[in-house]
Amino acid sequence: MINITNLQKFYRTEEVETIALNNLSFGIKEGEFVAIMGPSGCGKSTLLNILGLLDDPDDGSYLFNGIEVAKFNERKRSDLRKHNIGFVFQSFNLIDELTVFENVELPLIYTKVGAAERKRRVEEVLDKMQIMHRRNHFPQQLSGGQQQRVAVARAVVNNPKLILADEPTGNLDSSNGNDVMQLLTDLNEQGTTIIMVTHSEHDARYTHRIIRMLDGQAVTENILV
Amino acid sequence: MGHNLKAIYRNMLKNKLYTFFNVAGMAVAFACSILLFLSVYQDFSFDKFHVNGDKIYKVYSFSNAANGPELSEVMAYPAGPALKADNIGITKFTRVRYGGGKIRYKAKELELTTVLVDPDFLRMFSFRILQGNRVNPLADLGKVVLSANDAASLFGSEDPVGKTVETEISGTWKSLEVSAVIENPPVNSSIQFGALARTETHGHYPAIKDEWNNQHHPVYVQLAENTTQESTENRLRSFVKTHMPPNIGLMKARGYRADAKGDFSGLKLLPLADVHFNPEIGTGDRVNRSFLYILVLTGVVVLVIACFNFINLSIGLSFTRTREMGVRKCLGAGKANIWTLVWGEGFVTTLVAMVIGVAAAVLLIPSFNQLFVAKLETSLLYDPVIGLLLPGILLFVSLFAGSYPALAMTKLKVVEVLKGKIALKTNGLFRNTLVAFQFIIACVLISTTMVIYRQFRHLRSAPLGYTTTSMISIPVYDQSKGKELIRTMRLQLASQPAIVSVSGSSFNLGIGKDRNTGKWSSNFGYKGKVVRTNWMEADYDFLKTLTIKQVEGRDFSSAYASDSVNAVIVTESMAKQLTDGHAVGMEFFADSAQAKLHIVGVIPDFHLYSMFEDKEPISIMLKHEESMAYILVKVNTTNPAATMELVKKTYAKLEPGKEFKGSFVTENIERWYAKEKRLSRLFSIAAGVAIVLSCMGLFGISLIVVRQRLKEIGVRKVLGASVSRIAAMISKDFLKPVLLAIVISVPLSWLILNKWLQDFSYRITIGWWMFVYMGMAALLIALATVSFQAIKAALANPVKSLKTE
Ligand SMILES: Nc1ncnc2c1ncn2[C@@H]1O[C@H](COP(=O)(O)OP(=O)(O)O)[C@@H](O)[C@H]1O
Ligand SMILES: [Mg+2]
Repeated sequence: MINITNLQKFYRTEEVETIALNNLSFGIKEGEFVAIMGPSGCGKSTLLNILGLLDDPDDGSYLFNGIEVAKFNERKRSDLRKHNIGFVFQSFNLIDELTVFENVELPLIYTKVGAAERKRRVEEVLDKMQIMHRRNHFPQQLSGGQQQRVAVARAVVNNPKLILADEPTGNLDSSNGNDVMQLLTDLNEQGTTIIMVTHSEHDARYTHRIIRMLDGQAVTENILV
Repeated sequence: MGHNLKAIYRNMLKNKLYTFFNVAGMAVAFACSILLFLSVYQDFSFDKFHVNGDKIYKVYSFSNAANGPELSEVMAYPAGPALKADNIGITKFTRVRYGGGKIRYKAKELELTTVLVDPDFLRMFSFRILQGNRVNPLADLGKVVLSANDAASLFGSEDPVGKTVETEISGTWKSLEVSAVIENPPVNSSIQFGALARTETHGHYPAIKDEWNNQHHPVYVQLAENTTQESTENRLRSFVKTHMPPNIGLMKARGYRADAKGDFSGLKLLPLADVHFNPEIGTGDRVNRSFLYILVLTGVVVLVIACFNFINLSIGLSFTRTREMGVRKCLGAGKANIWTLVWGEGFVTTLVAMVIGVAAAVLLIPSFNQLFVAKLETSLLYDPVIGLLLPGILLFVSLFAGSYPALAMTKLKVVEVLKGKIALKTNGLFRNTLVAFQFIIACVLISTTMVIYRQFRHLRSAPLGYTTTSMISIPVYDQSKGKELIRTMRLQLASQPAIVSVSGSSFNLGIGKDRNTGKWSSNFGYKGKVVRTNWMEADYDFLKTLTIKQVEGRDFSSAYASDSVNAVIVTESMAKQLTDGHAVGMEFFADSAQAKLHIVGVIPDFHLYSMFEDKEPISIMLKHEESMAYILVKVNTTNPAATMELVKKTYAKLEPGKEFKGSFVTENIERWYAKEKRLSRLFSIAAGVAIVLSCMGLFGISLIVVRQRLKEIGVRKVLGASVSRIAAMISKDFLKPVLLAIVISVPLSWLILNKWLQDFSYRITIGWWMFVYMGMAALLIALATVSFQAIKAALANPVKSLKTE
């Protein structure tokens, strides 16, 4: 599903040039659950952003479902992204001014799904995530675990083929963290490909494979299953 | 859409204070500019409702005097009919003359203006006939046409058509039959009337209907479809030669000159569309077009200031929204979605502000009318043009104010935004530029207000050469008995200690409540030279009443029997034209038809007219006919109101039933400068609004910046910075653009105002201290605005601000 070769990403500030990704290459097959690990600043988030088509690489190739997307312009990336990729962030990134229902509904609005269909799908996914009773609450009224569950619901409501999660349990206690990991595992078992950045070896054990990074390069891969 | 509205609504609610600032600021700006635009629109709509408007002209005469053309709108009785009869492209004409001020039906008497016109009047002008004879209601001399309002108050529910009313025309009551009821002339009609009757009903008409030399009323004409103004004006040249040939020899002697076509004088046409704007030969309350442009500009400037506030507040607040926008983008929102959302918020703000602004404008219309002597009506808001203008402004302002923040938001990089709360990169320069711009406008307006007000005061209090205080002038109703009235008044007031003297004059000092002004000047030959002088006719005790001290000779006095025949008092510059020596006792002919004038006194030159005109030679004749237009009363009192009351009572006995239009000359003089007074009012309000709006913006920004810098302030405090130091540090940042604005606005104001002052020969000089005041005012107001937040932030507990993240 994903094939990157010799991916490069630089950050230039006035004085220094940082190499965030350095000739990175790997592939991920459909249905895989992959963890990306490594010390802070090694380029994990940068990688995830590029995989999620939020950012473009400076060099190298990125094949998404066999299509070269590395040179896509913003519009094409946005099109591909909104139909295929869901995001889960460490800091949840729910919109404070919108209710739980409305937050989850948002991706459907942007993919121009009809109102009745939106309602059905949002309710279905809220039900699955067991936060239906909170549908009219605002994010600040929820606990961290609940917020992350809403975030996951929002990421999956569009039935994306790929979910990208950047430290999804980083802001949660272990019990809530485990809940979220269980959710992701369930989703993966239903066929969604998941790539997750994590610092937690415990969380990584839920996945099939760990890619370990150092200074913008993949150093080792552990196959878990 | 529903989704966006919900998000906009919630975000506005969340940032209540900023929403309030934005809406309030915009609403104030809208209210101001709507009032200004309405009044400008009303002025530009004058006389536009006449279907034949582009074919209607007012005839005026010109004569090319030495110091520029003299224009006059008054025509003689035979002129109107001849213009139509002579086949010079004129198909319709109407004379328009004031007839009288009263009408009676049975026991009911009403004050209204009866205007005397010709039958074509109702065919030329589009005043709708509502009732009665719709074809030719003024077909004969016995008919009168009433305006709807006056008909209603005179007749109540009775049908007025066919009834006979008593109409006062040229001082006598005439029985006329109401032939039609016509719609009231709208406010934006230069020609106003309550009733219409025929020109021929005027008492003087039979005697002077063929007199070309007796001129008293304007004439409007309508040109044939295939005729142009130019061709008719060309044909008017021969018309003039036929009917009113000028005395070219005399004109040459008096310094008149021929124009490019070789005419010393003649007739021309003023398009109806210009009648409201021509100060000399227009009709009604005329306005200057450039004044209207200033009003539009002021309205736009106020809107721009409000827009800048919106832009600055939106950008300042952006850091609270960038993450949200990032998330939305991440979830698939395109640029258009983001733009609509952010711009939509601006639009909703503008819309709410517009609604409040329009409501406020409606409520303010009465005060506006009073303040600016305007006649705005609420119904103007239903006018289709205004109906289009308001949404136009709404769209323009929301685009102007909302586009920049919206565009900036769409350009945000998702990846960076998602990392944390970042604000739009403006590095303060953009923000400060807007703030500086606002304060430049505010400062220029402050100095403009100061200069215009001082110039107005300067004009008002200018020494005219006679004492203007404690003098009352009364327009006489029946001028033919003017001197008799003066004599009686002098007699009746003689025993009153508060009355110094009573005199009279042929025209008013300043502009009285009758709003009439007069000027009479002539050139004549004297010992081979051309002598030029302005004339005035006066009564005994003239110098005493005006408190003018003669240089030589004496005042007019009834003690000298010869005074009543040929006495004249001249000013020094007039005397100098006649002789280098003593002028008293000299005699001269000003006009071969008149008696030889005998100089009894010489007085210093003085300003007989407003300060817009230079001092010119003046000759004051003791009037020998019985008529006189104004009574002048010099009083000596500490209680002007009571003295005015006394004079009013005395007048009431002289001309019973007539309205007392007396006023203090100081008031009259102020009316000369009504335009400057109006301007100074306008600018003081504009400056006030500009300052308030700019400060609202500044306050909002200080709120945001302090919020953003809370952590930094906390750290500094922990490290030992004092409260005053921190407050000063924050305030300083805000005062920089204000200081810059002051520096820029000084030369800018000076240039503009100096140019404005050039139009006055009697003017103030702009002192540097005015700019010091202006700068101090701006700086203090700005400082007060930002120091509130700065001090509050500096006093805040650092532990709290460091914890929140
Ligand atoms: N916008 C940026 N500008 C400059 N350098 C950046 C930027 N974003 C990330 N970097 C740098 O790139 C490297 C990789 O960052 P990141 O992908 O966020 O690491 P990780 O998520 O693994 O902690 C780091 O050295 C970081 O400092
Ligand atoms: Mg990271």
